[in-house]
Amino acid sequence: MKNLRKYILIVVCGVLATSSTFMTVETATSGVEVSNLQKEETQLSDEKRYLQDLLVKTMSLSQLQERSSGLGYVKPVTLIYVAPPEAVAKLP
Amino acid sequence: MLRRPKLWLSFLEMSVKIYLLSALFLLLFGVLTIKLFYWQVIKGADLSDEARSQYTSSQVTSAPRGNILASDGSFWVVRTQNWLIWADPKEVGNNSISVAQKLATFFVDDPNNKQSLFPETERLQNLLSKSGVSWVPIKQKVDDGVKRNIEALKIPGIGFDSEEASYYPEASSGAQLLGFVGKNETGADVGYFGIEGYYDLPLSGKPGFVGGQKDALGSPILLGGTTQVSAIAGVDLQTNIDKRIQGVVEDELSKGIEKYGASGGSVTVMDPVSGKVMAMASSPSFDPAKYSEYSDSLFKNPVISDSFEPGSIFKVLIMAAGLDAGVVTPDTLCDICSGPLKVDKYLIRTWNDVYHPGISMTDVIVDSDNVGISFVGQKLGAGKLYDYLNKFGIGTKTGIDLQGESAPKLRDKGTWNVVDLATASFGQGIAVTGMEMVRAVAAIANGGYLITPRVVDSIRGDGWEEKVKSDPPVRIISQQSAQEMTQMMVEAADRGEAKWARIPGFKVAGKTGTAQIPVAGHYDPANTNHSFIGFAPPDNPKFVMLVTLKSPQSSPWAAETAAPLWYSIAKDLFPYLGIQSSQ
Repeated sequence: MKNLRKYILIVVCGVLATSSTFMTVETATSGVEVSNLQKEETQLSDEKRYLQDLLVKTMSLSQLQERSSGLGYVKPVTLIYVAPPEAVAKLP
Repeated sequence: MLRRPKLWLSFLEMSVKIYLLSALFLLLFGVLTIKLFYWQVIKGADLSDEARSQYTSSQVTSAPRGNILASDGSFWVVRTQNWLIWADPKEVGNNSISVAQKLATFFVDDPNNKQSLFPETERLQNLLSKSGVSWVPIKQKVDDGVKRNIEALKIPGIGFDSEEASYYPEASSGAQLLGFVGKNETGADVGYFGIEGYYDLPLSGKPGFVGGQKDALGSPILLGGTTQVSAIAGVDLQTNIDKRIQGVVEDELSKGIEKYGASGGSVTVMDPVSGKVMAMASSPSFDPAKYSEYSDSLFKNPVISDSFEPGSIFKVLIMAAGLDAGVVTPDTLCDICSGPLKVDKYLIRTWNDVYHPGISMTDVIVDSDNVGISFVGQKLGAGKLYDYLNKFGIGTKTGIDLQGESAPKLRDKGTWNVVDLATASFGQGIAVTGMEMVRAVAAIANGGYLITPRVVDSIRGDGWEEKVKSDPPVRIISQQSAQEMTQMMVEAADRGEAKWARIPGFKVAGKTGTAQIPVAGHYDPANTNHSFIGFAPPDNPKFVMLVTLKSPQSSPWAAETAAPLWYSIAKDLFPYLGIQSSQ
């Protein structure tokens, strides 16, 4: 009985010591992982910003106008309004 | 016996040694205690701080400034990231010439242009050859594309620091409306003028903070815990400014200024019912991305900051007041219009010195008759005229959401003499801003309500949107008076001096104004300011527009300058706003 208690105490101490070591190692490596993830996040947000800037530049109205005139589109000079035909009574 | 003295001596020797050693240990202990006291107590706090600074890190996270959007949701101003390129001359070493040659090609507009490339190379070389420094900024505001290209060269000793920047997809379009982002005395970003200035606080957001412990390699120590206060990003502003209308207005204004030889000009387009400002442009202007290269005088928006004598466009307000007060009707005949009107020691004449005895009030507006409108002014009297001008918002700020608005004050009530009354009736001796005129005429267009002009429609945060509140419209004249005045303005556009400029099939309510320019106590004999204000369609107006030109040289009359410019812009607005021709 006395021996069993001793063994249990040794096992518990062993588990605690192992888990403490494991936790220390784990947190240390997690710190590196967090650091890597932060770098990746910065890279991705830089990439996102770059693509967004590119999109904004492409959607610029002044650039579209330049492009359209280069493609041969011209602003209409005269507008013709087409009126719907008025209803006319049928001849008897 | 012989041994005794020897023993005694050795004992004595031993005791001395022990005492000496004890004394030495005591001395060392004392020194150690003093030293420990010094490090622990006297220097303890400093050392503790020094140690903490090695393993703790704290960083202020900047709040990104909000974007400014056009009415269709596209970007007017987008916040982006630029780069400050720096160099460590020690690391660049003897390669400064080749590095300068490589970098210079990225920093000039045309790398083949030797005239710009050589000075840039020389500038860079001077910076890269600096001795005794390890950080030299070599180029600011470098965009992502250029940064990537330089990065790809992997030049040792060249580094990049990010900095927030504003990108303007439409270049200098709407510059005076938007304002710009500059720095304050502490180096922080601050919005100046226009929307940037007015909405600086919501656009700026609130910076955050991240604190924690880090190991020697800079990785976070999770057991140490972290403190984090998230940055609150600035809100986005959805404006009422329509990019297409703004583009048309700026193009036509620029052409008009050149065509009529004016020194400058402005155009404002507003929805007279809601008060939404659809476009506002002035020339000369500036490029907000390079604001530091322009004179400060170009930053203020002339439409809201500069006052001018309005001239004949002011007659519509006096006539509307006369109609509303019941002192005249459209058919009232002027009984003092057969010749120049003598007021005190002055003679009031018509613009062409042609007089119309018994002219109707409608024709007073059509012919822009100074004597006829003085007749209305006299009928109103100085007190009522003052009250109506007050109602129309003349002399008070319109409350537009742009920084830099001013409003020249009206002469105090009760101090107006007969000459003031007569000249103010046709817009002389009184000063207004363009925005005041637009708002006042909008009240005629919308049936009698004074509205508050609005540039920003709503503010948008992360997952929420809120409309910008404005003061409710206030009725200032009756609907009937507004309708009668509108009809008079339609007649003026159809039969007045500017009738040649009108577009067949489209009804417009409008009025020209040619005003003398006060210079040092007298009027400039050579120059005049021209304006045209109008709205369309008269019965259900979609826009009210004011065009002003400063000192046009091609003609002395607004009917030949501002009016055709107004119609050339309106010609594009009609189909865009769905206004149909009656023909």
